[in-house]
Amino acid sequence: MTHWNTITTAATLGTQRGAPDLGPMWPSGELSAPAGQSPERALLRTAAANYLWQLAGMRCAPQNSPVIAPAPSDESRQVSETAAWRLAKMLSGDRRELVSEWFSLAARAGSVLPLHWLPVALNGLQPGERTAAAAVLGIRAQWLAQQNPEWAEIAVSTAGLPIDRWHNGTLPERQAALASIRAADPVGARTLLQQSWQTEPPDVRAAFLETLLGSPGLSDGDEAFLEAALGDKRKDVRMAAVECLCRLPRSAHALRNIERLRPLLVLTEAEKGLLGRFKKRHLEITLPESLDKQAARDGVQPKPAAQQRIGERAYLLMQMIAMAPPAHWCERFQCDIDTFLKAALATDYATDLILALSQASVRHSDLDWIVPLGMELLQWYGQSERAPLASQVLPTLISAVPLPEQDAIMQRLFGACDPQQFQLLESALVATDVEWSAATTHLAFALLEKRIQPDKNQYPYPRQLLERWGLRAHAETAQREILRVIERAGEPSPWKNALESLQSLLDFRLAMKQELLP
Amino acid sequence: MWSIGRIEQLAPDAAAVKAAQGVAKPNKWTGLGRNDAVLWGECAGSGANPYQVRVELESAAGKCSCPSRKLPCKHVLGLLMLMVGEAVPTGSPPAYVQEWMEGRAKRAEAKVARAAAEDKPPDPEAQARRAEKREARVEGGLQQLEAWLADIVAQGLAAVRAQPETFWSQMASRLVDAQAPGLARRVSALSGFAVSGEHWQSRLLAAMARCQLLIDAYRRIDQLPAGLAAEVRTQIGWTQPQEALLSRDGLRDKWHVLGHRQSQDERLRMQSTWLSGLTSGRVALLLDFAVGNQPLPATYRIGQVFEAELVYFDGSPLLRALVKTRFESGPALHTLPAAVDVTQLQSRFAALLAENPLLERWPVVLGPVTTWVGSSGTVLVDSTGRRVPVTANFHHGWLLAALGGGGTVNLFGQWDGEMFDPVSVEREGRLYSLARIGELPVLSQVA
Repeated sequence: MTHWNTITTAATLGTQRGAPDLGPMWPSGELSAPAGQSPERALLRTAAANYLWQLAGMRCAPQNSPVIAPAPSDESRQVSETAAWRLAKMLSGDRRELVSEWFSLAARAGSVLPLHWLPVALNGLQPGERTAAAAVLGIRAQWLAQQNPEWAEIAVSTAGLPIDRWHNGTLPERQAALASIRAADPVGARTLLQQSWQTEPPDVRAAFLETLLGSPGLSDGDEAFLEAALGDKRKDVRMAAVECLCRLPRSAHALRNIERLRPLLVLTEAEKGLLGRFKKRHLEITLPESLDKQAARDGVQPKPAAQQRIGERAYLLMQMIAMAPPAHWCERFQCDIDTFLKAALATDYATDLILALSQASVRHSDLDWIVPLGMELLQWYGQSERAPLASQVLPTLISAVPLPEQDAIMQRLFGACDPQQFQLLESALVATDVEWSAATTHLAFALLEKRIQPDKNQYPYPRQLLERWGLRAHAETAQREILRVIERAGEPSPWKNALESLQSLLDFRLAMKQELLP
Repeated sequence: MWSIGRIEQLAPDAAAVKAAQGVAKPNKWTGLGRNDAVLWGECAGSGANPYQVRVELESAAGKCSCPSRKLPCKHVLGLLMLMVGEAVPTGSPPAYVQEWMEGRAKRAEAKVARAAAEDKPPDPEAQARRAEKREARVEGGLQQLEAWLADIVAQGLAAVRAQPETFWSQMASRLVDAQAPGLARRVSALSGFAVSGEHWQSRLLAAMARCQLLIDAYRRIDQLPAGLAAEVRTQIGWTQPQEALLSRDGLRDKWHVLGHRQSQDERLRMQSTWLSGLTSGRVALLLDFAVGNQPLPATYRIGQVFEAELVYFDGSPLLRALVKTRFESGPALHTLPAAVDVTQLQSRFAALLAENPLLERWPVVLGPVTTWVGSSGTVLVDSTGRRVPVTANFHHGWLLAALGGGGTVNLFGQWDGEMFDPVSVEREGRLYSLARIGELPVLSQVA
């Protein structure tokens, strides 16, 4: 036991319980304890001398240290210090919602984060943002993640062969590997999936089916595998398989569905001759009596959710319609989309039919149907019962459109929209994943300007609604347009707060962009 | 040179920065202008008249006619942001700015004159009486502390571990009343050692033993060399009048700013700026204090080099200093001075302890070291494989490890004999400061 330990032990127990002989504890003979002091003071003084003696004499011996591999060099352009500082502030809560945009801008510039900012990003990113961030984190994030296991999941490895990652990776890595193998070799990818299918846990099985749903898309070759998955023990997996099968119009699943629908929906024949053209065609609807076993296996649910206002039998029918490709109806009844929609709207089930057809258009990304359905949904504004449904469905409808065409669809909707329908469109707009084009942004702000005019005596406009616009608008255009709108709103205006916070969001985005794409 | 980072440093809180960003829009301002010394503009606010805002650039002192009690207010910060964004043209100052500048110059003169007047002590006898009274109070405080320490040792450290926070803070308050704030600070720190995890007994006993050493030193202050005696008085809590110090001859050198840190206790905010003399090789520490929401001066930036005459406070070894006269600034330097390895770090600290056994910590450049983050914390390993730990509660470990990229860095920081407390870091000719954004630790490259 060292002297210091002896002294500490004596102090911990207290000198009341006895003190050791402190004489020999003094570090050297030259220093000696003054005589005639209390045991407490003697102990403190001895401790002071001993401690300082130790502190001054302490020298470290070399130790074997773990060897840290040097970080791989990365010649890519580095994100500027100002931009990285902004990212850190965003990750700690200042406009957190713009983090994804920050990363996509940085990726567009081909920049990577400097080493000293990597831990900040790795700690602050949420799971959904990791894929988008991968390019900007760069290869050195993986080097860093090798040293800190907490980051292993975030820095999703794209190194090595996809097949190795498929066998040894984490779930996100395996999903990415599956997608990339499928792009090159769809059959081989499916075989791999089938090999391990039985031993994968249910959540993982459902996740892989979702991967199949994404790019590069499904093919008829996948049908047998998916059909087998309809018999899975887990509902999540079965429903994921249904989603996939719905999208294969030549599959047995799809054909069974069409067969089930055949007697239930009939459009009256078009009459011949000139007069016949002006005569309306009617949609005759028969509700299914009950749910048979095969339909249940094909994914038709017996009962609607409690909040859904729909009869049980109507619900069965609508699910079937939502699975069928919308193009089927024009083909079967030899009619155009407009005729079919008009007939559908004239029935007692107009609302449910539009919703079911919208869902079908989303599943089949059918642009021809999405536009007229969107126009119809716009009409629902101002109808107290249907407006909330429309504001739910319109955004999903727009986001089902392939990215390059989203903007065009929005422009068409804007063209058809009057200022009163504005709120509906407002929520639809923010559902898109792409930045609006300059033209769309211009249309949106023109509409906003019109909407503001008659608004002098309204309640204060909620700023969150408009702020969401700020996330997607084309920043340069919007920054110009907003000045005009603010001027138009005048002062005082119930819009003032909402417009100013939209403006500051736009300024923020523009500053971010300038820092990343100088 | 102004940057957004420096403006944020000047701001009283994060809300002020945000508010200032809202104000920093050219369309909200009229009559914007600047010259080499001062910056001005009028900002539309909610009042009928626009607020007149002016900022002196060198000292970062600003004035605004708005009623905000935050200092500096969002208008001053916003105006600085506009200038950083290069949205302010040069021009000649309008009347309200000139008046303010003249007023400032007059007040500064008056202050110097007042200080000169105070140089002649009005009544040496009264002063001596006051000093005597304080000596008596301090002596009373020392006796209380000594009895209290002895009591703890008699009962045993294990017994006081269960004591509430007030057990320590009450003794610290009594020492403040006894006009021994330096001792009070040491006593407040004891409560932290009592709950500091494994080996707490050792840390607590060492800190208490050093209190006893300080008391003993003060009792025998007449036998100590002058420097150490001054050091002991400072550590007890006596202050050295700055006017007297400034009348001495100082050390003129080109001073390089190595590090910078702000800390806060209950009421007082403190800013430490460490300097290194390019010619003399001497280190110096400048301290600034601010009470409440008063701003701390944002005069120095890491890497900056300026020529100045510095006067050291009495002490041993000399460290704390005052700027007596400041001359021009030179180009910034983004490297740290020559570094020591772990063995040199320890032997130099031993020599300093021999000079002043009460020394708590010393600023030093350590390197080249690799940073290694293990399960028990961050360690710095030098080229010989010798390693030292960084201070507990160090949050920049992974940032340093990442910056190093598997290679080495040089660190400027404080060494307390056992642990290293990094302040700034250099890698490949670039300098970084250990900063925080809110609670988030970051390494910020010095521009």
